[in-house]
Amino acid sequence: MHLALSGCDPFHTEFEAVEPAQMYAASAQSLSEEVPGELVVMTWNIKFGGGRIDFFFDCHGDRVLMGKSEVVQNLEGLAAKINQVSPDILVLNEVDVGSKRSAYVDMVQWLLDHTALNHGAYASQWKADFIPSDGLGRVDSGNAILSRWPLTGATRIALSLIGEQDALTQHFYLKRNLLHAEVALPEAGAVRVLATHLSAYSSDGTKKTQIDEVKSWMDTFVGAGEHVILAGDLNAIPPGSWKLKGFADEACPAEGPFDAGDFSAETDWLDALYADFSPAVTLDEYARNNLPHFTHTTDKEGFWNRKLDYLFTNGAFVDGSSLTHQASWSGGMPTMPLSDHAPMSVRWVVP
Amino acid sequence: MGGSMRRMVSFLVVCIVLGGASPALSEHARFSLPVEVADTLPEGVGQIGLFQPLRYGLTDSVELIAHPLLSLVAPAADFKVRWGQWGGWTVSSLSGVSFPTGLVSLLACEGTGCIYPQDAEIPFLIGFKSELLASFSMLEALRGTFRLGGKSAVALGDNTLPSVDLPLAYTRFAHLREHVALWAGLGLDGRIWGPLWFVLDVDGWWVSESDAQFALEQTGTVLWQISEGFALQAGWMLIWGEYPYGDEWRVLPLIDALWAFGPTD
Repeated sequence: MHLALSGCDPFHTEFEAVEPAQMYAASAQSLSEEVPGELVVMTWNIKFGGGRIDFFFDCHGDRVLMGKSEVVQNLEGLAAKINQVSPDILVLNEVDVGSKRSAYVDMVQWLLDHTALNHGAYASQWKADFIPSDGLGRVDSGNAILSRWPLTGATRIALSLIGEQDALTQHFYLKRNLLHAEVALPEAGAVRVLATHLSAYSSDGTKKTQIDEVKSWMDTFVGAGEHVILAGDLNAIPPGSWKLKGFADEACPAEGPFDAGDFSAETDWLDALYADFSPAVTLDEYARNNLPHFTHTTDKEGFWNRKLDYLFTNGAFVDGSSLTHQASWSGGMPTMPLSDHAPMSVRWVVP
Repeated sequence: MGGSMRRMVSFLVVCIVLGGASPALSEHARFSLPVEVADTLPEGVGQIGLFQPLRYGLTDSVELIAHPLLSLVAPAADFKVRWGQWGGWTVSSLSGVSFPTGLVSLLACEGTGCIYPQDAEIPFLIGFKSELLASFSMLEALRGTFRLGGKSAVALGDNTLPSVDLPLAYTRFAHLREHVALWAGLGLDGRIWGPLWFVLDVDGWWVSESDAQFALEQTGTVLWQISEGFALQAGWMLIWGEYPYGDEWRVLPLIDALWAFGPTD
């Protein structure tokens, strides 16, 4: 038998428990204005620049790979929205930096070079020289923090893996992380930004474990006297959600008894975060009306139908400043064509 | 085709890409060394590995090379013809034709083992391969071989197959996208001592892609002939190449097992 092997991690899919994040800088730095009294913080799951192409994994279509021109066109739409919001800090989920599916475009660098943001940190959550499945090929996709001001101490922290997966699947599957970095605010101290994107497809409680791990790290930084902002896609819905399952956009058949769109057993999973941190959207606001705060749908012909994306802080957000940019009437620009997630923004009070 | 069968086929393809790269017969041993040389197997002598191709001497100067398992989904055959020997030089040519559409269609799917995307348009493909080989004896048990070859394919229909962006596979599958892949190589093989043989080999590849064209492969292998009919190989392959994602160096360990049959000298 003729085999070619390359070490114990031949496809380079593994990560350390704690490791430095990958750092970026814009090719041309924008002038850093003095730090205002409030920072605009934005979070967005950008679906690897895939816009509203019907990819196979959502079961609305069978696309797998994009050409470079498609990717750039989608990135231009994302950049237009980002520039319209003009955030000081931007957290991104599902950003590709070297994936065949997105023509190997480094999206962190591209967005830094096409927005007013100057510095970036990236932590991969899905990396493999070759995914032997679905024709995906090489993939490198993860979370990123982009900022007007320098980032220091950017670190990738591994979160728990889905324990119910077999070894082969786990080897090639996503490995969720918590990316954190300190944003150095000139003459205004610093704020630690935490970016994460939690598991969507675990039926063994891994998502809850990951939520608890993220909370634990937030508590650690708070305990050290730091100002903290958490942003990202938690793949969980808030307490007080009107609808817990049976979302109309679910096109994929359920795999056995597990349904990724059934949150009925998860209604209290975010309680601890809401109890100890200030959310951009309070539970009272959400309870009055869920609809304006929904951030996700897989159906581009429908409308956002559940809230999966969040911003939390141990400091203070400006009351009433949070906005889920669902459409032109809530944010000034259509966002449905840009991703399967709507961006959120809020103003954070600089201590 | 079920997922487990598709995974097995994908595994076989990977091993054959790596294993079928270039074994050939040393005139000093019954076994083929992992380098393509101008010599051909004697009439009636054959060799097969679990993943390496079947090689069989049709005549003393014509050798058939084919993959029995893969031919079920991708019929293919190479013929190596030894044209003659002059002043210590042996000159051969290797020509082959393949029909890989069945295999490619099998591997363009959704799920594990699918190395092509399901939405790829796959035409009827006819692959062509040609290689010129010239071997020369330097010492009693030392031989050098020059190789010059190329492969491409003709597609009957629309073709949107993407590249397979992995070292070794990228150059060897490029022709399926109607690109031309050319190679030039130099190999050195000979006896170390007793049942131990060695190969040192270097190949340079060029692919007619616009942005990822060159690759270099250097192989070193030792073959241990354990018996008349069985041998083990171990070694390394050092690869440098340009790929759509950038340049990459990689070192791969190589192991192999070979079985030979037919009349002995």
